[in-house]
Amino acid sequence: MIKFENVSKTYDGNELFALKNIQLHIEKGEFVFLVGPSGAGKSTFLRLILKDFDPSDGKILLNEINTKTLKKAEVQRLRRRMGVVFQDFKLLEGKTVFENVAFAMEVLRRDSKTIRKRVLQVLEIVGLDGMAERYPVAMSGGERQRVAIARAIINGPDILICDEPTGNLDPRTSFGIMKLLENINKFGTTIVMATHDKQVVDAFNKRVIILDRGLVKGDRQGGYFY
Amino acid sequence: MRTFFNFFRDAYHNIKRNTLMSTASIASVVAALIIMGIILILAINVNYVVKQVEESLEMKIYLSDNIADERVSEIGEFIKATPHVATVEYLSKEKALEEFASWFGENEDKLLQGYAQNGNPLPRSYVVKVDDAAYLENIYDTVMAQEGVTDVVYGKEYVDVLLRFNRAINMVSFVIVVILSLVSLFTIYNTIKLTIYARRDDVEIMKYVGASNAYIQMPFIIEGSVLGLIGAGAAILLIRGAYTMILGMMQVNAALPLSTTLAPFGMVIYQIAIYFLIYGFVIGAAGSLISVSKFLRTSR
Repeated sequence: MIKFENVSKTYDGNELFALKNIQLHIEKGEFVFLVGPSGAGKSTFLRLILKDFDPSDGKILLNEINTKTLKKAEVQRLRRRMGVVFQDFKLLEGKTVFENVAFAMEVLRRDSKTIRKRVLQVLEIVGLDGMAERYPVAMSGGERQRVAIARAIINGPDILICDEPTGNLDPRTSFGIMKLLENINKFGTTIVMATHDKQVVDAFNKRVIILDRGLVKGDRQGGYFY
Repeated sequence: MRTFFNFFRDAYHNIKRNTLMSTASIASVVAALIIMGIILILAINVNYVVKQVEESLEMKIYLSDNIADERVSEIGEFIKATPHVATVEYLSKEKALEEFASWFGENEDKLLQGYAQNGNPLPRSYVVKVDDAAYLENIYDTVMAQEGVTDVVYGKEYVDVLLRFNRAINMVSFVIVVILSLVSLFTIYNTIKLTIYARRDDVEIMKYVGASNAYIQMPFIIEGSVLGLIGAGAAILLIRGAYTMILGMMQVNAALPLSTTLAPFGMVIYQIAIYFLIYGFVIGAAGSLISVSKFLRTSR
């Protein structure tokens, strides 16, 4: 599903490689942890999948399509098949939980009846039923992240990209979020999650890709190490 | 429809949230438009004067005494067929003498008598009016080349000065308008940049859920246009007030020769209002379009 073929990335005006000669394949339905110290290239890795930018060298294939060849409208269509969850949630503070989640569907111009039905459904899935009219500011970190996850999965993505989703949460809350992500994964969504959280990685037996200074230093099943 | 309403609601909230920068944008549009307005009023008035002068401008084409009547009418037809000639009037020798004599008031009779005895020395002529003073010189050249035409006379120096003045005013106003437009454009560009910065999370999320560029840009473009239109509206009111005041002052000093040639108020304000609204809208929309496009380009 996601294929990196000899991918390297340098940023403008910087000779250092953010990523260098990455060669790997993530299958449909996999749950992959991306670990490594700060500056290892985790965010670059995720942003390449999102096609925030193109690799400086090599190519990235999503469902066998080279992302570099995609036109603007095709990139937009591609992103509608992906969900993104951030460490800092990125919720719109002026909007209610319902509006925050509905936003992702409004952008795609779905009709309001479908939106209403779907949002309430998804809020139930993430464990926030009855909280639709609350504002993010009145919620705990774990609850906010659930709102962000609801927003990320509302359009039924094939791939869910998570950038340190438990980074701001205590271990107990993190565990709840991980359980939720695991459930989403069970329904067929491929998940790529960058994390620093040793406890989380150790507790969930998943494939772990280790990045260090732009290189893949390890790629194996289960456990945190580097 | 609902989304379109939402765009306007968002724009309204953003303008309110960004009071300082929004006010600065509106002020810059107002300032630009007021200066433009002054120039425009000047230009409209100069054009108005030019038009009045053009309408009264006459070209006299004198004919030789040695040509036959047929040739005279031939020349007349030729002049009529010349582009930008509005009216042609034939002046016979007798009529010319009458007109000439009329300048001398009470001594008219004696003068006519004298000429009647010694033969009338005044030539036959055509009096021509044109629809655009800029073509006088062309017409002069073509007509002068005709056989039987002895001389062509028009207020060349006067027309030249007027045309040059008109052109200079147009040129200077054009340059100033361009500079002021750039200033307004830049201010609105920056205001929208701040708005986008304040809403970068929204934009980022929209981007990641696959919103089209048009969808992301729309609220910002509406915001920019609204700022431009508010600025235009304020400028129209200010200019209207000022022009009414100046007209009032001129009516008090009715002796001023200028007051007779000042363009009527209705005509001026109508033209200016349309220019201003279009200008405000375009500058506002363009400024925000450039700003948001740049943001989308650098962030994707």
